[in-house]
Amino acid sequence: MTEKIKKKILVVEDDNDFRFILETSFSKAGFDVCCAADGLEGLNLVRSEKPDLIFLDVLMPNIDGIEMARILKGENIKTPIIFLTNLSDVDHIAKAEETVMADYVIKSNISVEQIIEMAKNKLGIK
Amino acid sequence: MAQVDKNLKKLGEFGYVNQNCWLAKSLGYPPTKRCQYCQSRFGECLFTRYLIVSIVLIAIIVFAVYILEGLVSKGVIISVFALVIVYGYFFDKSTEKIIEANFEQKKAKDALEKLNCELEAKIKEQTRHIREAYEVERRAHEELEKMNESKNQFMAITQHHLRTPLSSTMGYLDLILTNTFGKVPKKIAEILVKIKGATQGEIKIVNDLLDISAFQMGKNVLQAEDDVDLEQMIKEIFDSQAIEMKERGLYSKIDTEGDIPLIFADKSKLTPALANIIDNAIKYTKEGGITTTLKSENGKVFIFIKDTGMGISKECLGKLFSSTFERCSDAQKAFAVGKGIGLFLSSKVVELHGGKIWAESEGVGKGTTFCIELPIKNVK
Repeated sequence: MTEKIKKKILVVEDDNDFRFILETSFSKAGFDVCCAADGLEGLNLVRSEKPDLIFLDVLMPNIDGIEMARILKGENIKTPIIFLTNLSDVDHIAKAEETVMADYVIKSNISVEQIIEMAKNKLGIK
Repeated sequence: MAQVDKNLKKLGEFGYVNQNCWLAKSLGYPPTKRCQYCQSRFGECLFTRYLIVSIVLIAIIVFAVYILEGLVSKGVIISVFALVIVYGYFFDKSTEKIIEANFEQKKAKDALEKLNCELEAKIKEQTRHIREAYEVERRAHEELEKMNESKNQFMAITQHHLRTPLSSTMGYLDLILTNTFGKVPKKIAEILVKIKGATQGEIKIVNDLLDISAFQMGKNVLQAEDDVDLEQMIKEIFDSQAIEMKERGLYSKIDTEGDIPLIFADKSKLTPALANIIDNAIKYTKEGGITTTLKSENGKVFIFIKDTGMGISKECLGKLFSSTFERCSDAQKAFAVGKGIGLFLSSKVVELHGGKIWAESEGVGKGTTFCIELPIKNVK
């Protein structure tokens, strides 16, 4: 049994499959995980669950990832964000980095292990 | 009368005659035009004024002669008035000259104003033309921007739709292969690894195609960083190919001439660009191997990747980096499968770094050298 990590990760991702993959992977790695299927649900979960790290999809219905990050910044919520996307457009990256200082991950170019490694690094877990 | 008419004509030429002038009218002189300079009315017109002054003076002389008759000699009276008239005539002549000079000045000024007006009208007309042309250009620019925006949106949607299922496939494969859903039998795990490899290949193709579109749309896709170690990069590329090269009995050798400086480059783009060239060199070399030489000169780093492979004909050398993705017939004979986009992408990445790429070959069967020149600092 994997050792429990006392850190909570919020996954905001509209793609059911990818959300399931991340949820399963983070749980397996020992994280507490909560999930949202769009930005609106994500905002509510940030306020109620107070996660330590947010994995945030860019293209989503209702409120997209960049807008959600902007709202969080407006509310002075400084939870670190790692953007998940399938867009490699540099303009989009600039737009996202303008909103908050965030990391950016192209979903298809990274493995689940690498994503977990990234989360651990971001949270300072060895 | 003829003299008066002549004078009137003369005055008319100067524009002194006013069409409102009753005298000019009564004398039958056609009121050709309104006095365009003095804009005078009746009594103010120069010609009218001469006549009125003359009549008044004659009347005064007659009256004075009548009153002063007997007191002063007629001759004296007439002489005095004659003197006054003569003096007045010359005085008036000089005044006339001043007035004429003023008129000439006004005329010149008016001509200048007219010219100014014409010029202004011309400028206005030209400004209108320029505005119209600008408007047309602005609209065209807007159209282009809209088209570009649509293209970008299309690209974004395409990226999303092409990559999303691939991300999920890779994710599920990772979960299954890490026994998340239970222990996977060895044979199935081997097959799943092959599926994963194929999916990774698919992701590479999608990324290549998206990169091509981005290059063709003129986007700068580079995110350059300092201190990129080219020697290390090339070593890592050869390391990743070590198993295949060993199986095929090929050697790989890296020579450096002096110290190779670290360069300013986008590692994530330059690595696949160089890997592509090295992969090609390995792919088309049946025996022998690849020798890579690095050297630095004049703020540039040169990489020469020399293989002992099938070589390239002169005709094909020019087509290697073509955006039409043509494959040479020799290459097609050797390997039926190939997209022909790899070298194009490599060349674009090198160009975006401000560098150059070219290939040299003595001919078919004599090996090929790919030459890459990269600036140490400059990234476009």
